[in-house]
Amino acid sequence: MATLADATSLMPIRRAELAANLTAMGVPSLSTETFKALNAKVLTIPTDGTGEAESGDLDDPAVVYRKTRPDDWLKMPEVSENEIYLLFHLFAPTENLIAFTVTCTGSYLVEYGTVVNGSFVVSGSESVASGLSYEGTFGYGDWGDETSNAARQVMLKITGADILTFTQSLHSERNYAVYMSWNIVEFKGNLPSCTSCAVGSQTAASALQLLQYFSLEGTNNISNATNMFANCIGLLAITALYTSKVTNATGLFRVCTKLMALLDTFDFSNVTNASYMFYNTSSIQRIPSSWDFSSVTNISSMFYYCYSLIAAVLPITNITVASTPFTNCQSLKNILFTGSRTTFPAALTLQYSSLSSEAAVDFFNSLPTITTSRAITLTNTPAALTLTAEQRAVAEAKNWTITI
Amino acid sequence: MTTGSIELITLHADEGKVLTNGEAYSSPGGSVFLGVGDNPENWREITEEEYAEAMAARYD
Repeated sequence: MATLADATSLMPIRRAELAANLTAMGVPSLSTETFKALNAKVLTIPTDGTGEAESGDLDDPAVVYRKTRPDDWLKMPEVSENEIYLLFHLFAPTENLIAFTVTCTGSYLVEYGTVVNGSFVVSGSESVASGLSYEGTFGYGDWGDETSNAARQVMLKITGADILTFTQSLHSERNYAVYMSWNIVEFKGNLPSCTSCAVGSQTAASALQLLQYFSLEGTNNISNATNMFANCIGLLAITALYTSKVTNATGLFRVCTKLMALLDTFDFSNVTNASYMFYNTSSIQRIPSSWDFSSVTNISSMFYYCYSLIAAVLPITNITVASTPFTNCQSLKNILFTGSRTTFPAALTLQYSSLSSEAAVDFFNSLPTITTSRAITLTNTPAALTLTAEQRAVAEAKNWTITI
Repeated sequence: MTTGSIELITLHADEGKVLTNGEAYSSPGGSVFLGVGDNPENWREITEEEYAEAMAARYD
């Protein structure tokens, strides 16, 4: 088995950073296979992109943004504090509705128009009291040229004092009871006082399903990010988001099925509830080793239906709820636990994962010794066919039962 | 220096049967390799039909 030191020489990309992170987390010596998988660069650019794939960090949201955003979309203007820009697409032949609610001090101003040479050009505006809904209706024929995706476009600018929350709203002209999936394709804001910016929703019809790009610059006060991006099934890249105050990340990226590029710089060190955090985030392939999940207590269904997830490192010291965190992770080749504890709250299902016997041994080596036995289900995995008695004994000696 | 040994117990499900401890399941006709503190009495055989019902209930 190769050592971590051996493996670092094989991986020139960010090897020092990864090695330092793993060492700091107390990860034991790894097989070369595991080390490669943890630092894999196997992402491919989305097929609906406009540019050529490049060999750089395609898991970098900035690269995905640059390579996939159509050139004929209006450029997003620079955003100042307490401003939001929304790129709104209009489709023929119907009138296009949009509604959202902002809470702030006093009223908020909604201006709409276009962008010329990077600057916002206003066509009209409306002032709305904090907490009340803005409802807009835009005719397709009234706005500019058609883009490559057969849309015309309006840029909306929202300004207000100390903006606290933004959320999409019902429109009085829409009959569907919960429909709020307006054609907003890009969100760019800077909201230092913000406590909630829910562009997603646990209910699909209430989420911005056409949203492709999201950026919330600067800091914010978001501690409860429950379902913030849930069901944003078109989302490709989050290019800026301050997460250091987030404690509840339940369903944060739930059903963001196209999202594959996530910021290495996300700070999840204060997150305690990560249940459903990546539920059906089915394009994500790796969990950056720089992410700190050491405060997490709830990992229930955390990676459920992450079909593309290849590798994950997860601190387990503080976990108290752990129901089915890795179920249906069919591409999962490597998983490592870090930290120590003497009990574990639930059985682990790695059924249908792609764990090899070598990777399973790495995982077994990362497990703590526990006083009450827990089961690890390895049915329908490559490891189930090839694990030797000696390899299984690594886990059994730590009081983990293996089912195949 | 002293040496010790641990007894490792393996359970095999009969054909068409699944082993479960109420929380984890083997594959039909599969095996369970017990951790050193686990007890064979924690495990029982169920039919594939019972297994299917349990899975359906879990993911409802």
